[in-house]
Amino acid sequence: MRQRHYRRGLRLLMAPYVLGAVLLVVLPAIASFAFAFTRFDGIGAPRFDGLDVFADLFASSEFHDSLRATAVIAAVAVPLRVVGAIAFAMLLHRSERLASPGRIAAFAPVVVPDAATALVWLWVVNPVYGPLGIAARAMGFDAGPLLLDPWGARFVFIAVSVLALGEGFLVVLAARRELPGAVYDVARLEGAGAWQTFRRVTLPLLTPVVAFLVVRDTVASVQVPLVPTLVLTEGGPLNATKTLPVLVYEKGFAELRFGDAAAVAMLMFGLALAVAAVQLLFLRRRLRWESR
Amino acid sequence: MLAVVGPSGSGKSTLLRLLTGLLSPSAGTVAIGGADVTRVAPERRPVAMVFQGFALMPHLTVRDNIAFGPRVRREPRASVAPRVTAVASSLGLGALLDRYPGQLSGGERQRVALARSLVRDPVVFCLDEPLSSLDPQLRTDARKLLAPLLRADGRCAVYVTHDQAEAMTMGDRVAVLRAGRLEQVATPRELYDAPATTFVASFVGSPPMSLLPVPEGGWVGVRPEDVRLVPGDDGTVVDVEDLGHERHVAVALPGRGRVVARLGAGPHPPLGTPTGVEIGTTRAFDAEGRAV
Repeated sequence: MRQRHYRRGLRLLMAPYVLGAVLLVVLPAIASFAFAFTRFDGIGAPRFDGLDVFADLFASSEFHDSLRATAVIAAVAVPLRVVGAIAFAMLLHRSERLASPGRIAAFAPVVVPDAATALVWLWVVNPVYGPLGIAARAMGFDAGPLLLDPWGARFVFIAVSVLALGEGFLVVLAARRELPGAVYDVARLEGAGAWQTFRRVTLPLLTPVVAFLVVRDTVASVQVPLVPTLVLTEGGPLNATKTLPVLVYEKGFAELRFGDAAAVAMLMFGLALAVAAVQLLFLRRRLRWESR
Repeated sequence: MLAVVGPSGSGKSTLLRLLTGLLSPSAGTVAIGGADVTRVAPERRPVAMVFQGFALMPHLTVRDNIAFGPRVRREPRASVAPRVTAVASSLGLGALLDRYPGQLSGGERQRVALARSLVRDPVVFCLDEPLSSLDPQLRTDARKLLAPLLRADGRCAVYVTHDQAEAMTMGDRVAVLRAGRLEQVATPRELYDAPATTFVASFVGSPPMSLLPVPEGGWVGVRPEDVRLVPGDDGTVVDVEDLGHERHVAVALPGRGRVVARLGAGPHPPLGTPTGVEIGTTRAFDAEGRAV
């Protein structure tokens, strides 16, 4: 009797979330999958075009630019962000006094809306009155308008996403604090210095967490950075920052080609899945000890 | 072998950490074999430590755990490997060298921890509650394994435990600590027969010495085997602990406290009945609790 009450309560409590997930995630995902094989302008009826949608995408230079922009930014930003998160956690975990403000500082970019962060960056890299431009001129050279240069713009994007290491930092910090003190006593007794201790004890023990971070970060950087792009560059210059999400947005909402947009989204999903799978496969070998 | 025993918080582990160099004394010196090592780094002291809970590295195989110290100190592989194999096989770990700690039983883990300290070939072994995380059945086996290893020529061991029975069986001498102070260092026999303080008297032995206040100040201590129950009405039986092979009978003596008698498996006066008490050998303590 009580069991049944409990079950009913459980269902009642879960209902809003299940409903939300179905309406906002599952159904749109299924719809996207279906639309990906059609031409659909949102007004007329979708017209089935099969794999030709994908063929056209692969043939377009825009898609290749977008793939390259995503890959370049992710390939540089993800390792930097993970390494940064680990480095900050190692620096701050010893001191409760520094860890608390550190946590807040590191986490702030995560809480601040993307658009606001992007606006701040717009000011930072402004060639006339931004601190970066002023500093560059003070040192005797003119960086010029950073966002108008393809690599300059990519650099800004990488900087933006590297500074958003707050979540990773918090995860590593928490994981580091969970590690048993006794293994560090062993390391000290044997004469391991800071670097040896990190390399032989801390890093291997943190591998499960780092693996999680790398995979999650990669998936996130393939999928998320839409808002800052729209504010900072709208994908330019010369498609240098037109990442896949920007392409999806453009196809769908600027060109009203929802079928093409859905196809890009599907490819994005497949890409994230594939990269994550490869990473997990690679990391699993290092995690042999943990699975047993 | 010196067994160090005391209640929790008495400073047993601190003593070991001072010996190994994990802690530096705020005053005084640490000497090993007459040599002052107060300012010597842990890895240069002739000590090894077996930690409570073993502190094995979960990400390293048994082989790499044993070789951890030499690796950290960058000793040549060619000289490390045979030592590791030799130590491992002397402890019956030869077949387990490629396993991870997660795949070992408690007893096996303990032997790995021991092997790791043996490979250092120390003069002083520090053991911090080495048996406390083992099942009671395994403890006896482990004790038999430990004793000869630690008594090997030229070595000495400092064996910390909170279990007075373990201290008495393991130690050639036993040091009793209380709140950071040394109460007594003596052979187990002396400790039992001639406790220096009331604290030692009530800490050593199971059940411990009964302490009866003396009207003119101080105490008289009686070991339970020196108490005989005879017909009479000196006091009342207030507690009976039946261990099968013997019984501990507590008798309340009006106005004089209570004594515990160790009785054989024969009959004993039931709970709540009056009984006479005959006391044999006693120990006298002054008002400060010191033996007179």
